[in-house]
Amino acid sequence: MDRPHETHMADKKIDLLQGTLDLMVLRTLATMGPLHGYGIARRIEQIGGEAICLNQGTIYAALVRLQQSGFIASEWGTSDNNRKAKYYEITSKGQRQLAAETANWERITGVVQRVLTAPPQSSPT
Amino acid sequence: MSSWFRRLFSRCRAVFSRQSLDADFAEELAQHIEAATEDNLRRGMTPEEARRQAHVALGGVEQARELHRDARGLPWLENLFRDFRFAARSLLRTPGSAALAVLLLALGIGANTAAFSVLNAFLFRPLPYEHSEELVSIYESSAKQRISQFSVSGPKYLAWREQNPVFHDIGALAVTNATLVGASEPTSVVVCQVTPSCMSVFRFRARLGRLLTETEANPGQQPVIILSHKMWRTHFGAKEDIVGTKVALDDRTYTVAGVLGHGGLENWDGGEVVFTPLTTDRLRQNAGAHYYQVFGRMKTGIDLARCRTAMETLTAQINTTDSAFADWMPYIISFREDNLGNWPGIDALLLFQGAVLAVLLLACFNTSCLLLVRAIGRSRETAIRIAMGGSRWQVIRPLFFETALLSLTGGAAGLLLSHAGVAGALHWLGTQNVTLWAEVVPDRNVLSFTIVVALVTGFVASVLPAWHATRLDPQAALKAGGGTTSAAHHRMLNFLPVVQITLSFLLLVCAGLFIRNVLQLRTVSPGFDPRNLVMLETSVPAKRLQGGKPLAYVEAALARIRALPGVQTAAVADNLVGNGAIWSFWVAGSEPAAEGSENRTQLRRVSVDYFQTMGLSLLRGRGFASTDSRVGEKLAVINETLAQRFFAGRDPIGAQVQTGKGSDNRYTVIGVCRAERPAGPAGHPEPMVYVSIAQGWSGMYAYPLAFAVRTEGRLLGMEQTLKREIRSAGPDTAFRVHYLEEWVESSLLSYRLTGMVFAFFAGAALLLSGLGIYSVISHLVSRRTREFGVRIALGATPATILRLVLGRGVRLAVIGVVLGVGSALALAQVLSHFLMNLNPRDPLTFGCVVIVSICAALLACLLPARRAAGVDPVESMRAE
Repeated sequence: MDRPHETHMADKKIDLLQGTLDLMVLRTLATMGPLHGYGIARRIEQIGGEAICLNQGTIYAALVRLQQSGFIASEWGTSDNNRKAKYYEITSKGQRQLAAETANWERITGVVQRVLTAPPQSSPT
Repeated sequence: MSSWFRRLFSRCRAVFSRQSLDADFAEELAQHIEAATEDNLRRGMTPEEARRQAHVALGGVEQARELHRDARGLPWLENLFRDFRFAARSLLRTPGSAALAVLLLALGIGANTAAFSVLNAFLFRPLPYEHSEELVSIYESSAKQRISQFSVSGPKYLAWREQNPVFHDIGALAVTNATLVGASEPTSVVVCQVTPSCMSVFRFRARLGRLLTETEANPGQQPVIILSHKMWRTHFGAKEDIVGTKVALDDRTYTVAGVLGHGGLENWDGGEVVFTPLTTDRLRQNAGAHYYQVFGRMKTGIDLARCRTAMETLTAQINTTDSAFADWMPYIISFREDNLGNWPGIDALLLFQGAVLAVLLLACFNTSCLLLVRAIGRSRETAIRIAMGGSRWQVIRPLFFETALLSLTGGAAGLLLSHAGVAGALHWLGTQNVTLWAEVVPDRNVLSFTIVVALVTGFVASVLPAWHATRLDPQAALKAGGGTTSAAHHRMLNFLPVVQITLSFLLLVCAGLFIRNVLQLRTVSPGFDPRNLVMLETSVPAKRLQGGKPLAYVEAALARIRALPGVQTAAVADNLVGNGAIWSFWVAGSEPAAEGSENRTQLRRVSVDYFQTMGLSLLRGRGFASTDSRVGEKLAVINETLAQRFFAGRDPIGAQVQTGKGSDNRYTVIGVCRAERPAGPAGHPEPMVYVSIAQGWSGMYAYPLAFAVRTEGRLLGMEQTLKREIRSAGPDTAFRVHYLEEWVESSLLSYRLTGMVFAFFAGAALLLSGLGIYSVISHLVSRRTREFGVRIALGATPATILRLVLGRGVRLAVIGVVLGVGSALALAQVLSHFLMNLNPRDPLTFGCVVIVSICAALLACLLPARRAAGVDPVESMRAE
């Protein structure tokens, strides 16, 4: 990637709120099983596509938050290429949280979507 | 919700395991970078590019670390710790001045905490009675007789109780002295005769047995006694089976019915307390005799104003029913005010608090001075920081943390020191014979006071150095010469010592005035001669005397005492110096003047040798002689105060006077004697009339007696011998012994103590001011070293330099002294309240203090001045 392209990408980078990043990390762990930090970052970048230019450092902050709340658990293990890595795994509490947060997100975005796409109507009588 | 708590808990834990968590994450990050680099290599990048892209994708290792740290811990707490650690490190670089500052603050804050603890116990903490704010004391007052506060008459109390509108209940109390037999040895006690309702008003609780019941208020019941907790502990050995045993009070037998719990009334005017029932028939006697103290507990929701109005209306009604009630109206004050408001010690306590605050201010200014000097010394460092883009706040922050650290450390040390101070204060209070209602213990109020004082002190101390930092011009400070101290610095630096000198001047003046007062009072005669004079106070039950009168017993006892070796003279009176029944007085034939205090006198019945024994010189006429007949004309000796009031100019000898209506109360004056000062040299002489014991006695069940004995020189063991001799002449009674020399000294005790404490504060203040001047002048000298070097090189003698520096110091001192004189004069009104017969604007004291202040300032400047005069010109111009 050459420089101008990068900055162009940076302009289009989506600002992720803390809560949504947490949600995506939880989802990733739920679908992919135990992963280390780098793996989670790569996965989110793959799925999100080029629209996301994630500051990978924020992943670790999210992991700390999730672990402190008890939604994920961590353990040092060995990765595929025989490296030491810290693996994270979703807990049952985390599963419940994921379900609740996903439902919440869908509800919110549904409402916002409807409001934003509503055609101009005559005022109710 | 629970997840939030879990997070908080984890975050708190994370604050303390910083290092291990950091190491852990560092490894995790390293692995991340490795993995990312490998991926990039696989994509075909060069190794350096792969690594660089890995870092970029991560967003920077340091950033990631910070995000991680912020997420896992409590960032603000960690910042606070870090700031304090930094402040501690920078303070420890100059341990001497830091330790000094902490010491000064500890002393200042500690003294304040001690004074406040005592004040707190008196003013703010509740009295140890349930809902003590509901308790009131009820007195009577008569506008016609111009008496504002007087005891209550029995029948009036009964009428109030019957038709009580606003009280849960009211109770009455009468106090007498008696000898208690049945304890380890005969003891003199204070007997509180109380109605059972009085006990329920205070909501006393029984530790053993029971309290008084309503039936005991009726006449003809078995006499019972309730002991106070302290009495039970100290004289009855805290026996658990004491209920039911019998004791004797002045020869009347009482059965112990109970023991009061801790927190009930423990002592009254220094004597230990027991309770007996006050019966209604006694209360009904004599509507004109005002003998009782009345207390009440207001109903919930009633305030003092409503209570007063209701009682006034009620009393107006009651007064119409009996002429003896006349125009006596109720005078109601809260119980707390009754006990504290009249105590003059409260003023002294407030004065102490003021003095102690002044010392704290001084300590604060000294610390400020120290900090300012340090800040000026660090000007370059500060300038560099500002020049490199630091905001003023960032520069001032460490300063605030340093002062906070100093003042909190000083406050903690001060809190510990204050314990010693409180012990001292309690000792002083004990000498004032004060009934301490509340314990002086450190409680929430005191702790918060200390913390607030420490923080405020720290803040005030940091104001000047902070201001210096904000006014700093980085350019000037970074110039080659380091910049000279600017005019603003000069002003700031001068301000502190001047204020310190003013404050210490004030304290010195107070100390000087108090000390002078004590010295003056020492020369005032108490009227009698207290040297080698001992008085034994006792109370003899009538039943145990032959003929029911004490005369024979007294004469036998005196004869035995006089026969003892070492005894010069002995006499007896019916009350001790300082007490005396109050009677009316007027010259026979003239009208008894309208009732008022000018026409009252104290009356004392004395034996023949009283005046010689007491050393009361007779100014005119004679004292009593054994040849005076017992029947017939009643004779009296009046004192000079009384003579002055009623016989100004005329010779009172031979005049007839009345102390009441009727011939029984008519006396012929045979002599005039010097006036006693009952409260010692600091008290006022009271009018007194002396009559002979041979011609009448007062007392009903028991006769109060005070044996006065003058010995040749102070004899050890005299006390026991005297007691033995007196007891062998009559019944076995208990004695309270007073050595009058000590008694006179102790009446001066409060003045002496005040003088000593102020002298101590003033000394501390002077020391602090001296330190302040020393550090300021010292700093200025070091700043102007080059200038002095140049002057000396140009021919100035050491004396000139000395004069220069000393002149600077003296100028500061003079300004401070002038301000000090001004403020001392302003406070003169307040001070006169505490001084006895001394002008608070006493020129001698002021003059001395001015000289002392200026000398102290000179002394403080001496060392820096000599240093300045000894500057080597070559060295100074070389050094930079």
